[in-house]
Amino acid sequence: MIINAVINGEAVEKECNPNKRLVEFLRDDMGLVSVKEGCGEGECGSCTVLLDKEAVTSCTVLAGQINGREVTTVEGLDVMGELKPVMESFVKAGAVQCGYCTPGMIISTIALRYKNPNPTEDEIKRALEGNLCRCTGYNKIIEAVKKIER
Amino acid sequence: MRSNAFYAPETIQELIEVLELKKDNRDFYFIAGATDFAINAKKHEIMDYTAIDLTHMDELKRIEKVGDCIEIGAAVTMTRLEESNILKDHGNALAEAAGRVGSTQIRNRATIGGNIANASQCADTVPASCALGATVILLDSEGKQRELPLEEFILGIGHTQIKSNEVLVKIRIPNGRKMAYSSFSKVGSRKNVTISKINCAVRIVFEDNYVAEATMYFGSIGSKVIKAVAMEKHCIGRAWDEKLLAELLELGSLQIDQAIPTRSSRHYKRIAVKGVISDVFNDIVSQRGVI
Amino acid sequence: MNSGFKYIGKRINRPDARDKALGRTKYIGDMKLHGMLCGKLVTSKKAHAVVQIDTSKALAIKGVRAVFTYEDVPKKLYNSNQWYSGSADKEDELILHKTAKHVGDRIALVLGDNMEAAERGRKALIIEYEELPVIIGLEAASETNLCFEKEFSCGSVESGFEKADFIIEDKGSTPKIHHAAIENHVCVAEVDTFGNLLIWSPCQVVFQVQHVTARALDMPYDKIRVVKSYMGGSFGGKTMPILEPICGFAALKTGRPVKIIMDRRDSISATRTRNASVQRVRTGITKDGKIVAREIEIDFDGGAYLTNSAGIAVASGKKAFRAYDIENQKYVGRTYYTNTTPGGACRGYGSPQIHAISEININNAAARIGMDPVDFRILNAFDPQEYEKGAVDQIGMPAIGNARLKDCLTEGKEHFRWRERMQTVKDKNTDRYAYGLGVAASAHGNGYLNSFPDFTNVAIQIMPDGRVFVRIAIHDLGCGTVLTMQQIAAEVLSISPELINVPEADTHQSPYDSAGTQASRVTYVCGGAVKEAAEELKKKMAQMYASSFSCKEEEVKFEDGIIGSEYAEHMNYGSFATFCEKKYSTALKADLEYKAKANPSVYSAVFIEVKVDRYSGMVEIEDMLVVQDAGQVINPTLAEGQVQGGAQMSLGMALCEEIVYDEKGNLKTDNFSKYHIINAPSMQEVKTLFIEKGEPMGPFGAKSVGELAAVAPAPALMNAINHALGTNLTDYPATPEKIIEALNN
Repeated sequence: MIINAVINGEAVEKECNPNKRLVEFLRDDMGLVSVKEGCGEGECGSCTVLLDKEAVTSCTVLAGQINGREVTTVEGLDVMGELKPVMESFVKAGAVQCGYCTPGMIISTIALRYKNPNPTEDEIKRALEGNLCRCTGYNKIIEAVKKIER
Repeated sequence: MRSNAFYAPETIQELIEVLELKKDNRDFYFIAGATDFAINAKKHEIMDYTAIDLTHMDELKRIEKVGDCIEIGAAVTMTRLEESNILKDHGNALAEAAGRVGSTQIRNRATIGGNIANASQCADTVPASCALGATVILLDSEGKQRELPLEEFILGIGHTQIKSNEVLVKIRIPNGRKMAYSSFSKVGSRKNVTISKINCAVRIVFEDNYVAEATMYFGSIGSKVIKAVAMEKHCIGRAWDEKLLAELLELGSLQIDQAIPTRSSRHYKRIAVKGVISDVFNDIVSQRGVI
Repeated sequence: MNSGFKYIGKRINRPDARDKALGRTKYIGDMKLHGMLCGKLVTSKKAHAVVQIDTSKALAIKGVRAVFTYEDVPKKLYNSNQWYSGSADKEDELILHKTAKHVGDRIALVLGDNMEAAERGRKALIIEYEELPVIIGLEAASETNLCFEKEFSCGSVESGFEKADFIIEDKGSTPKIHHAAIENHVCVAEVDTFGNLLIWSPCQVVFQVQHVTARALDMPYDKIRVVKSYMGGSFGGKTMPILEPICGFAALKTGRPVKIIMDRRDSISATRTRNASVQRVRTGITKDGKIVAREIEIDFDGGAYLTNSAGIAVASGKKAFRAYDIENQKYVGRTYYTNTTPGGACRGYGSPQIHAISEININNAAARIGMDPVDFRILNAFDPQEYEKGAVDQIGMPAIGNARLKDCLTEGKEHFRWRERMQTVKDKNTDRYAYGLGVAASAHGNGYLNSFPDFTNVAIQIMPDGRVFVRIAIHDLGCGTVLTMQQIAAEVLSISPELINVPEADTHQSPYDSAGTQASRVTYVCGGAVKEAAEELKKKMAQMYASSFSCKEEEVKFEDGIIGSEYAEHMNYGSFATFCEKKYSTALKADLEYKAKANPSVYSAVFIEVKVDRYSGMVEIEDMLVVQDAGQVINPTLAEGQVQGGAQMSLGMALCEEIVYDEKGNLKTDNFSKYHIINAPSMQEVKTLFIEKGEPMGPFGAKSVGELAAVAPAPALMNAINHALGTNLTDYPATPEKIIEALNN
């Protein structure tokens, strides 16, 4: 099947097995390797991407399902725009250790900010509930999200 | 090697046409949020199959008032349910249940249709919908619809009355009355992103500060939801106060003893049930206080 | 302590954080090499069985390039736990096994042009299992399956117990724990243009991967090049080579690069686990609260292969003699084979186990005589010791050093307002919720001195552009090890850490290191090495400058990458390097082999207030303070990150983490939906406080932080739960079911 979708802001037309998981399509066919796989069951959130501006685990989406939709990974966020304050806050707060969960955390944070530019601590924790981190104990990630400059 | 096929109907007519194809094939799977499917495909090494994607069916993504009912499309996500003002006003238990399913990412994909049709004993929207008196509407390959109570629709773990040429299209709940309140709570192995070990949904209608109607369901105990008839009866005519709560807690434990007399999980669940009963009880107290 | 530092103790941002946040960092799983094959490891579905594999159907699948089984691999035994050639660990593993000894045991490898082909190949294998009897759990193993036993003792426990007014005994257990690095195990291997087997591995010890692969493949060490690559977490889980020997074998056999990635189920079942334990602790105390005797017996579940069966029993025991001054003490540790996933290093190496029950027992001892559990610990804790070369502890291990357990306890008590809270915490109780306070302490080490060779080589050089190049075999597991080394070198050389490059370990580029990034040795030993090398370099620079510009060595000034003196020329380090090269025909460089000088202890005290739901058995932490004796913090942001992350892991062991097998050895907890680690909503703020009173032989007074952080939170939480409920829960984790059972018995 030919998939037509907007991926990281660009219209993409690509032949692919529609029943392949989105995480594999993005990594293998599109080379978007910021999307990591940690569990394959939607439990760890390291494969989180934006699907029509909402955070989803790309291991629980089929490639065919993105037809006509918009998918964004960290690679597609504007480094000088919306990504900048988030990235800077993560770096400064010490929210990045091994870094494997980080792209997913960033995507969940961006999705939260679309919906809720001034989240409370509880809202931040809820937005990140589907992103597991084994390094930080989340403290510095939550601090980073709190302190993002507007 | 079989090739993979993928259908993404956008209208009811297209959906009916796919149902016609599906009816004689065993390897057709409805896919919406795919949050359960992805896990099963991995576990059972399902590599080649035909997917019927329901996420492009705009008609099945609406929550609307139709006559004296609220109709919820099967492809409505947990996030939309949780955020729905119609549900907050008339079916709060379902909005709360949806808000407790999985993680943010999962709620953005998982649908009520999938949660119900998979018929997991732990599904959170099932007891909530049952408490609200939900029926399900099925569409077949001839374009015919049939409606049946949700409680009858689910036969057991992973089993429903759905036929191979049918698809679940809508969930219908009666429009709530003015003094009706509903609530949902669950206990899992952690606070968020957890599968229910026990869950509970109630709908209470008050008249002059006394309970006039009560509906109470527990989920995640047996293979199907349990309607807590004794507890419901016990509420009728009573004030919603601490004394009633204390009695309901005891009745809740008894309900568990009766439901799973021999299971080892009974020892935990007969106590944990008090937690979910307290939660929904207090939630209704605060809802009444607010309104 | 010393506040005059320019870079030490400062919150400097990690140099790798930006690319990681932008998703640009390439991990092994992201590597693509020309002609690379994808490998799918096939693991046993039975806990003990002779395996028969028919590969014909798999090989007929388009895109499947090879299938390897036991029949194909070298029959060279190895032990993946051996990190150097002198290891005495017996060898009992093969690359692929004919008789599977646990669910998850390696039985075949399928290679495909891509992952899909490899997966189709795996699915098409016809595997027959001839099942054998299984032994699951320590109770079943105790009769027949002992594989290692070790005893440590001091004084005489018998006479100690005679002096005791009270004897307090507790039995308990700790579960098998999955490391849960979010990156699953992965490896890439290829044969390079020089005929070396080049292995890209997110490992903790490149020389261990080299050694084990050399043993397994019967290859020359020097022809195996191991490059430590970016790693998505390890926590001990990636210490032992699991995929490297088989991946190397496949690359040699096919002549093509091979990548093998595990899925989560494999990472849980086919790698290593923290050894489960069953324990008995008896403590004799006087009525004044002095511990006069203690006896600890621990049985460890070693799993299906020998791996660390000796190490875990030994390492656990040693730590029993480091925290409290107990005249008469005896420890017996035993390890048993079972048909479960083998044991291995897991953040704390024995410390999480040895402190798990003994710290509950300490609370029970204090309660017996009505003494506050913090005061009881302070009364019995060791005092700091002056450094003395070659000094030893009660069992002949290196002395505990500037041990600041008492400071951790007294300062923590003050900061946490322990005394006031103790008086009022129960006032918060309702019918449903019970509140309680808990404290626990722990001790951990700083390397291998007196147990195993503990030295490292380091080369540090000034480059012509003024940058500094440090070669040392370090492995950043995500903790910020590279930045730690940069800050240490920067402080000595007075140059910005950004200008210092410390590449990670590569067997063909890094000078030899005896033990790798494990055993809490990196900041203390490797950091010490970097400091000493930087000092030697600085001395050399001062000598050359002084003789070139006719001044005294002590007049030479080093500031922000500029060397100079009051009366002579100033030049940047790079120009000076070029100047020296021309004038003296030498590089501005220092090389040395640094031997660990001591192995002191580090300590923590953890304070927790907890709220327990008497209905659901759910536990919520209301407040938590961790106090760690760090000597000198190198970078507070990194240190806090270690303490908070360690807390997440430790609290998980106390609340929900547990690898569960059924009676046949089938893995029940095969993914994160069943093996729960604590997520963001369940993780409270972890307040941190560091005691910085230095450590004589540590770089700038620093000692270890990261492993220790994963030890005391668990028993502190158990103690808090027991305080809230009046129970004596000693079996980890305290699941809601166990809490409700304890409350209703």
